Amino acid sequence: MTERLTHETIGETLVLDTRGLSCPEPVLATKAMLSRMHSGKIIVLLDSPAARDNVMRVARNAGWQVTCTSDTHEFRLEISREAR
Amino acid sequence: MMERKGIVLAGVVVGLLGAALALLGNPVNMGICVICFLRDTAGALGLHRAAAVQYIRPEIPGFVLGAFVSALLLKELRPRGGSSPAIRFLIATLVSISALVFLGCPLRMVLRLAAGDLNALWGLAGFVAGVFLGVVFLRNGYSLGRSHALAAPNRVIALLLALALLLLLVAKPPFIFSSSTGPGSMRAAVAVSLFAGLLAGFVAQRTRLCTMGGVRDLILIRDYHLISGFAALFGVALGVNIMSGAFNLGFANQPVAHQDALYNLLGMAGADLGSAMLGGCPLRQFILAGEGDQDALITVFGLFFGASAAHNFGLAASASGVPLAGKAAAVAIILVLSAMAYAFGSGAEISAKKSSQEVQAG
Repeated sequence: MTERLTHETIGETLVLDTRGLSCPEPVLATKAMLSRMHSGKIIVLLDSPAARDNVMRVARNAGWQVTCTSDTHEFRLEISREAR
Repeated sequence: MMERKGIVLAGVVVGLLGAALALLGNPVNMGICVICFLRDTAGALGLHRAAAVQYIRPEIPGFVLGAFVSALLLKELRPRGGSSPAIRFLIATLVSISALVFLGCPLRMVLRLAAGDLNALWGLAGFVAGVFLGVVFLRNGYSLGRSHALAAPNRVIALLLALALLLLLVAKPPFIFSSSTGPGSMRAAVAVSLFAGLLAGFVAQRTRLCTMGGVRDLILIRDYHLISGFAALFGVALGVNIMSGAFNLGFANQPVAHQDALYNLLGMAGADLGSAMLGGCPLRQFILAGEGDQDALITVFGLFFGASAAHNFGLAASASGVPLAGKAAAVAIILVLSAMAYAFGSGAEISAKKSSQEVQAG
């Protein structure tokens, strides 16, 4: 699952599709991916407001910048951090 | 931070309601208990024959109505479902039976502790152990799979069922049972209970308050958000109980509680392992159902069925203790839930794809 995909991010944006998964699965998947990255950008797709809030909070607490765009019932989070 | 204030405020409101409802007529230490109230409601509908626990608790439709109104205002009504519904029903059935071996849902466990019932400490230990076990399964990829958007009318099914229950409560047709003694006869006024349920449902929807989620997020992702609501709930209920003289510290003579430490622990462990597998405590399932989540509504049906089965099959505990069948059930439930969680060990493939293009949600 996520483990084998996290090594392929250089130069491109990884998109994590967590739509339809119930909490805490989206936040777990995002956290697992972020923990393997020091910097860069990923996009997380969600369709639950609760999961959106959780993913945003956890990413921000871990020092990542998050922007959210929404399309009625679906959300697209851009999570990024610049290399230090 | 606003979000943190919101969850703490929700904990304060639910803690206040839980303590106050017990003072206003609900059973002592049972101001709010989702499973007990489901059990009472199932009894009122004639689904079990325990005469002491039969009453359509207005809080039950109140939770759904409050969540529905909040979700409507926030534009969060989302008709969804299809994530392993039958297995959710079965897990919920086991959660209910296990909770009735302890004698309460996680919310009542907190309210019992806040009223000085030390038997609930064993429940708390089981609660943490159950959630911890659930976290182990989640870390290993446990998932019931994805849900999908459903047709719009699904968003009002829970609402209509809640209104039907209220209609039965008010109309009192002859086939509805009503306890004249025991916990089922102890009730706050209908309007008070309904308003309390509505308010609890409303704030819980806004803030995603979840008792199991508090401990789960703390263990799983070191996130203190939900647990701060849980702590506020306990603190406020404790304060109200001390001020009102309802605080009674000890193991003996606690209302609607037994002193069998092992089964207080195992009962709550099974209930919370199951809640972790379902993604939320019983209260949270009501809130999600109110938002239009059909998987959560199926879960509520399972909780309802389990509460009836616990009494029909002689599994539920009472103040006098846990029956032998209930003890066997408590152990079996943990084993069966663990086997289910193992079987669903990699239920959902989380797809991740690379893209150098803009990817639109939807």
